[in-house]
Amino acid sequence: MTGTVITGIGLALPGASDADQLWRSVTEGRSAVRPIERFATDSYPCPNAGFLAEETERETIGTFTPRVRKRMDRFCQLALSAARSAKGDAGLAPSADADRTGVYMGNMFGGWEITEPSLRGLQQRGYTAVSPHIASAWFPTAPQGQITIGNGLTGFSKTLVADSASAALAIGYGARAVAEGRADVLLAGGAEAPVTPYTYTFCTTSGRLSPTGTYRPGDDQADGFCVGEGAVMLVLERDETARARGAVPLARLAGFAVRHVPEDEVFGPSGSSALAAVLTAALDEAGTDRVDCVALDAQGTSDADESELSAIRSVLGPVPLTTAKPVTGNLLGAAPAVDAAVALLCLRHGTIPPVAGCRHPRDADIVVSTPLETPVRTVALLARGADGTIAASVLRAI
Amino acid sequence: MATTKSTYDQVFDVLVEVGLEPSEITSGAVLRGDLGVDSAELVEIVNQLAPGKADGKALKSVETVADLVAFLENLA
Repeated sequence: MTGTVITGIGLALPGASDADQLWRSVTEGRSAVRPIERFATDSYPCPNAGFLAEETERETIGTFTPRVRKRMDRFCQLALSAARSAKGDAGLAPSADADRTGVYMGNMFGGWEITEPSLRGLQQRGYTAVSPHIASAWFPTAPQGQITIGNGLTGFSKTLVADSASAALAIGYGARAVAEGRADVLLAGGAEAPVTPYTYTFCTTSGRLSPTGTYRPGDDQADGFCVGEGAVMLVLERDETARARGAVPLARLAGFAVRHVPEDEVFGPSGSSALAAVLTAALDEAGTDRVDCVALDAQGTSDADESELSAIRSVLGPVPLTTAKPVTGNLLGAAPAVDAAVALLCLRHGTIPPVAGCRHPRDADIVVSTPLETPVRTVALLARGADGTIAASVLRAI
Repeated sequence: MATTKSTYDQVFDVLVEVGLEPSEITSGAVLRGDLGVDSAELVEIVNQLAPGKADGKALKSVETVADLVAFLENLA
C-alpha cells in the first residue's frame, strides 16, 4: 500500500518497560493482570486489572521529574514515556525536522487521575481545591499535545477516539498521512489509564468486564475482559526517508481498512460480515490473500469471539490466531497498539505467542500453552470498538 | 523572637516546593521564559500563597518573580 514502514517501538506496559520484556511475557504467557490495589474494589464486580508494577513504573514514567508528572495525567505520562522510547528505538535524533514530525494518538477515556481528587476537593473545600492542571490534563488529545510540546514537534498531528479500536485508526491513518506526504515521521500509537475509580466505573457499567476477574479470549469459558493501563508508540515513516537516515525498518504497514456499523451489531453476526469485508479490504491493499498469523481483537465474550472467529474463517480459512491482550489487560483505546508491537516482535522472532489464559480454545487455530515456532512474514491485526468501528491492518516483514 | 518571612522568601519557598531549581530563582527571573512556569503552574503557586486569589486576568500582568511578589503584596 503505502510505502510506510515502522522503524521503532516504545512502550510502557504492565510487566514491560521495553519490547524485550514484553516479548518474554507474551511468549511465556505471563499475565500482569492482578488485583487492583489503588482503590477499594469491593463494589466492583471485576477486581483485577493490568497496571504497572513499581519496578516498571520506576523505569518508565518514574524517570520524569515530579514537576513534569504533576502537569499531566497518568495516560499522558505513559504516552510520553513510550514516545521517548520509540524515538530512541528508531534512532531519531532530537533535531529531527520538527515541522515534518507529528503524533497520531489513539485513546478512549481521557485521563481522570488529576480530575477525580479535584472534584472531591471541590465538594469538600471549594474551588481552590481544584487543580489548575486539569485544564490541560484530562482530554483525549492531551497526550498528543504533551508529546509534541515535550519534543518540540510541530508536524501534522491527530488524535483518534474510536473506543477499543482507537489506536488501530491512529496507526492506520497515521500510515496514510505519512504516505500522502503530510509528515515525514509520525509517532503513532495509543495510551490509556482506566484504573481509577471514576474511569473504572465506566469500564464496569459497559458490561464488558469479566465477572470472574479473568481474561481468556477464545476460551469456551470466556466471560469478558480485564482492562489494563499503558501506552505503545511506533515510529512511522516512508521507506525512503528511513533508509536515507540509515534506519532499519522493522516492517511495512501493507494494508489498512476501516468501516463503521451500528454499535449494537458490531460484536454480532452482521458485525462479523463487516469484519470479513474489512479484513478482505486490508488484505487486498496488501496484495495478498494469505497471512501467517492473525492478532485477534479478543473482546473475550462468547458472542464477540465467535463473531470474530467466523469472519476470519470465512476470509482466511485455517490460520494461527493469537493476542497479547490477556498479558497486559485490555488497554481499550490503546489495545490495538499492543497487538501491533507484539506483531512486530512475531515478525522479528518467527514465533507466534500463545493466548494467555486460554485453556479450552473454541477454535483449533488459537495458539495455546506454548509459542508456535514458524516463519512469520505477514500478520493481520483486527480491532473493534463498541462504538461500531471495525478496523483491520496488515503488517509485512521487510 | 519569631521573624516573619518576607513575601519574596515565601515565594521562593513555594517555587522550590513545586520543583524549581533554587539557583535559578531570582527577583528578575521571567516565570515562563526562565523558569518554565506556565499559566496553570502559576495558578498553583498563587493558590498556595493566597488561596482563592488566583484571578486569571490579574495574573496576566505577572511576568517575573518580582511581579509575583508585588501581586501578592498588593493583595494584602
